[in-house]
Amino acid sequence: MPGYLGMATYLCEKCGKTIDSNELMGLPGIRCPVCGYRILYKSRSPIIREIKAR
Amino acid sequence: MDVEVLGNRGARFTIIARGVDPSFINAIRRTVMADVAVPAVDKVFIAENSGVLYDEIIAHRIGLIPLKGGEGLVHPSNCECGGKGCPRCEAILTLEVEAPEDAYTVYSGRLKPEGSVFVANNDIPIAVLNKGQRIALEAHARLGSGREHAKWQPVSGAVVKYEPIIEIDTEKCSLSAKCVQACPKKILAIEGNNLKVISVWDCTLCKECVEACPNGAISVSYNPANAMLMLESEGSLSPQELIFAACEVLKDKFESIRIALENAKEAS
Repeated sequence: MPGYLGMATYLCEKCGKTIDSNELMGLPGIRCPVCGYRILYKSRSPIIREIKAR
Repeated sequence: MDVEVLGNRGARFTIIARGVDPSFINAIRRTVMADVAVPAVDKVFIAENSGVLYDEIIAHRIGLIPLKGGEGLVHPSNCECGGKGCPRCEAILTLEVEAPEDAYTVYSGRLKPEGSVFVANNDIPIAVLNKGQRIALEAHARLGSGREHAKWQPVSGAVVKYEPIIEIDTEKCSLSAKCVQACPKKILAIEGNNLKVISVWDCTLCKECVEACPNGAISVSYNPANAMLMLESEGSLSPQELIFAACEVLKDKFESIRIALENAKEAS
């Protein structure tokens, strides 16, 4: 269930797969569960942020 | 009172008020700066931002963009919604952009008006994006005053000064031109056999000319009965409209004093 409040999703630099933080927990260290690549980008949450323009 | 328009170039407007106390003209200047209501973005809802700037920085920059219009808007403090934000007191602008190339600058002109408020200047940079980076947001503008935050201040310059008086003693003057060189505003010139003041209102009363003159032929003073008011608008309202709006605000304030006094008399 990627993207719900409180859960971060990541994007693998190499294979482009979207991974949620639960999938990462079972692995030793930070790596893509599909290709094993170690560079992952944290995706922006789909929640719209309200910011004061000050 | 006698008012003369000294200059009206673009956003800059200068008037001279004769026979009036400068404190009265200063009241108009201070009211323009602090109490005239103009729209500005106060809340930004950011859906997407893959550029390098934080959401907060983009929101802050959008807040500082001068906005026009908003004639039908109600001040949030007088709105039925209690200031929470509704279509009566807020106008929406949207920005949705994806950079087609590297080093792509997003300008204020990309803010699309959805209501009665639109940007006063289309050429203000908001962010620089690289190819494929996106920004999608909704900005909510509302009326406010400079007293609350400087983004609601409708002028970038507001100056009041007394009328400068430059007196030249032609008998003492040796036409050495030292004062002409010393003047930082370059308002003195020698024409024929006379030292002349070209534009007296540009004088800043710095007295550099008085110090430079070897013969003590120049004296600089001011006349507090005449005052100059210069306003430089940011684009929300024209300088003339700002003066009218400030007069209305002052009128309302004086009226509230009158009502308060009458109520106090009735109570006693």
